[in-house]
Amino acid sequence: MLEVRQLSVSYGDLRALWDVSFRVSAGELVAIIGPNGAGKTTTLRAILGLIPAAAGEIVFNGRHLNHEPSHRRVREGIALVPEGRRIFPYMSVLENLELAAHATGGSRDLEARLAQAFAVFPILAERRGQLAGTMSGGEQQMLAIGRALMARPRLLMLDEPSLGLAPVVVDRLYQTIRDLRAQGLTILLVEQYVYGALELADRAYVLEIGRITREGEGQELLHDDYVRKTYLVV
Amino acid sequence: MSSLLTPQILLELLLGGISLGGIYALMALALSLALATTHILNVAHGSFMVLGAAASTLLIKYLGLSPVPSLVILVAGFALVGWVFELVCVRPLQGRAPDRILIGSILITFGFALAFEAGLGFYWAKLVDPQPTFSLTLTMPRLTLWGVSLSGTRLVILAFVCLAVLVFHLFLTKTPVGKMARAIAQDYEGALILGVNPRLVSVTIFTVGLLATALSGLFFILATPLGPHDGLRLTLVAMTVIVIGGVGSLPGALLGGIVLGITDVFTAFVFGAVWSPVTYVLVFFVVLLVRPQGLVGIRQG
Amino acid sequence: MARVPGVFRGRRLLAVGVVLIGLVVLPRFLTRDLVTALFFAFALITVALNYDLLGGFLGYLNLGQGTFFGGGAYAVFILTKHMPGVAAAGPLALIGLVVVAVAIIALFAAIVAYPLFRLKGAYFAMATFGLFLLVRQLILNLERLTGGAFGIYLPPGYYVDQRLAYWLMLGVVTLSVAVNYLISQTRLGVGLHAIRESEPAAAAIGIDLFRHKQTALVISVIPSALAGCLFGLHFGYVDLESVLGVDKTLLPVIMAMLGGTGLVLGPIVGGVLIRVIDVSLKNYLTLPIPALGVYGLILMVIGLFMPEGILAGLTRRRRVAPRA
Ligand SMILES: Nc1ncnc2c1ncn2[C@@H]1O[C@H](COP(=O)(O)OP(=O)(O)O)[C@@H](O)[C@H]1O
Ligand SMILES: [Mg+2]
Repeated sequence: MLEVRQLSVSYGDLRALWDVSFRVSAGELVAIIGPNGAGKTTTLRAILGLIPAAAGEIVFNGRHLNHEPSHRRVREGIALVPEGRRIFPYMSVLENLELAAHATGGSRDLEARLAQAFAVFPILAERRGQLAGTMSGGEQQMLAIGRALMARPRLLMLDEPSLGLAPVVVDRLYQTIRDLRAQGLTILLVEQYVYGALELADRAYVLEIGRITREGEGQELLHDDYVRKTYLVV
Repeated sequence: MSSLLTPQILLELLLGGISLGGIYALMALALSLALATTHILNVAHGSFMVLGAAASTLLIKYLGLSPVPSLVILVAGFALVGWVFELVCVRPLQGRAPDRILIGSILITFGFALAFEAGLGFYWAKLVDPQPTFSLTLTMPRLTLWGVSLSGTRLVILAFVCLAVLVFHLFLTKTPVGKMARAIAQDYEGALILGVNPRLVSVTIFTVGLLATALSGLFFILATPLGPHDGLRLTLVAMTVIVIGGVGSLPGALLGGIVLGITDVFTAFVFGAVWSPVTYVLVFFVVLLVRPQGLVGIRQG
Repeated sequence: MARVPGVFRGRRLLAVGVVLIGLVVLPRFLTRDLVTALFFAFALITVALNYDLLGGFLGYLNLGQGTFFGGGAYAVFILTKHMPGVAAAGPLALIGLVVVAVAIIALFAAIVAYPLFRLKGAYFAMATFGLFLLVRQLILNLERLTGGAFGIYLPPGYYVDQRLAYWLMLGVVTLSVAVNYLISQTRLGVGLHAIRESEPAAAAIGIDLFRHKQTALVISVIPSALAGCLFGLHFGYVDLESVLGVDKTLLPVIMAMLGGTGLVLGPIVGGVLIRVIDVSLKNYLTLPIPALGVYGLILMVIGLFMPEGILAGLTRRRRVAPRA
């Protein structure tokens, strides 16, 4: 479904990604793990076109996306739940959700999309009138995911969804991700919460200082000596 | 002091100040929405008010068209001009780095304003009237309320302002594009992530905003004439309103506009009309010194 | 600062010397009109170079540099008009008045720095233009002091003769080049550059942002004011259009932008180009719109097609800033 080939990205003179290649097949849950500053967020931003690729190719369902603007990529079916959630704090929960539908041409079946998002996160229906900025971190993360679903994505990308959440909340969140995947959604999960991500993932990649250094099945990497030593035994 | 400040005069001045300030607020709102959504400062903004004044003067006063068909032609024409302006002067800047966008936008729109003013002044003098002034008169009866009589023209201006502000408000809060515009103003990348098309927002905001600004030029000259070279001064007034009221804030724009409008008419009344332009810049600097973040505070959606 | 060519080193120093000597003796070989055209060019290039101290080095777009040019001219004329006894006392006294006038403008700049530098970016640019309009309006309104719309005319005895005016203006423009070059070599220049790149980072390494900006502004207005004094004294009168016309504040910006900002040579290259365009527009072409409109179109073309100016386009030194 998604294929990234030899992707390189720079911030000014600073190179952040070097020849990164990976793929996500339909129905898969793929994880990218790596330490802070490795380039995980940069990878997702490049896939969505928020930062230009200096070299390499991004192919989605057979289409080359390199020269497409961000909003077209979203319409193609790529949705991102960004790091830090980035909800609109001064808008209501409902407005946040509607916005995502309007932006992707879903004004007409708005009600159906809303019903779908509310089915996944019933609490959003209860809080529809509340200002998004006044909700708790976990609720905001649900809103961010619900909002991404409003675009009816084919690929859902999540950037460190567990960041800053209490362990119980993370557990619930991961259960939701598992459910979404069971419904057939393709997911690219970026995490520093290595244990949870690898347990969930069909396949995973390790990204370090802008390069892919390891790849394999989730369970396989979970028992890999290097990964255990570097990311799990703390 | 040229004359005594009776209650009647005081009310007239207040009405004049508020209707003038309302127009400033409207113009400033359009400018600041464009600034908040595209990071482009349109220095030529005031020139569109002049355009509105000139075009309506030409149609109604010189070509003798009646108001309703004129209004239809003007609305269509202004929207078209706004759309073309976005295409030629704004679109090419998208994709440049943010600091380059700012410098580029100042160069392009300042250049546009100069060329527009020079061209308009020159050709108007040559073809229409050697002393270019744009003004319209509306024959309206005076309205008497609670024993004071108020200028009907001023009330018409005020009604237009209220209607336009209401339409703006509904546009921003109820329509999909309006919501996207607010989102992009609050968090540019956050909006892109949701799939908001920044070009759609940009072209809509410029078209709607410049249409509103040009129309406000029509209503402005019902009370005060404009000349071809007033554009840059008006942009400056709009920026002053933004400094007082904050970027992208509707109540802030109303407050800023009305403060300036009332300052203007009272200065003119006490010291003479030549001192009004001075007060704008002085208010601007005083607000900066006292509260650099503006009177209302920094932006909100 | 790698961006500034080492104009004053080695062979380049020689070249600069040759150019200067050439310009000094040039009036012998030219008609009066051409000498005046050069005088005019030097004045505008001076303001362009001064503009660039803020616009190029600091990254603050000052659309009101002409305020200080016209302000200097008006200051010396107001002093002369209201103290005829002093001015009549001879050339030394006149020089004294020029010094006082320039000092007044420098003080004025130091004061307006306080509100102006509360602003950044577009707001700063518009505020400087607002200051320019404010000064124009004040001069128009304060008739008794300034002569209002009529201006101030001095008796012919005070005129500075053409050759002398030419040489003095050459001196002022040379001074401006030297100032820009020297500042780029000093700690002040390094500080300005740091502020331009990132204000928070500059503040973090202990640079006093406001002091740097204020100092740069005050230094930048001194040659502008001097040029204004000289300009007025040469022609013998000042009025709003002659020294405070919108072209006086915009042409320098156009010159610096066209040549390339942040480069010592930029405003000079742009200035020469604009003067050539200007002279040919006025003398050899009949225009469908007034000159100011043509400048507007030039500004648009620069903004649309060569936002970094001619020199920067040639040398390609700038790197693209990352998106925030
Ligand atoms: N806007 C930016 N400007 C400059 N450098 C950046 C920017 N964003 C990220 N970087 C750099 O790129 C590298 C990768 O960052 P990021 O993709 O955010 O890593 P991760 O998400 O894995 O923590 C880091 O070295 C970071 O400092
Ligand atoms: Mg990250």
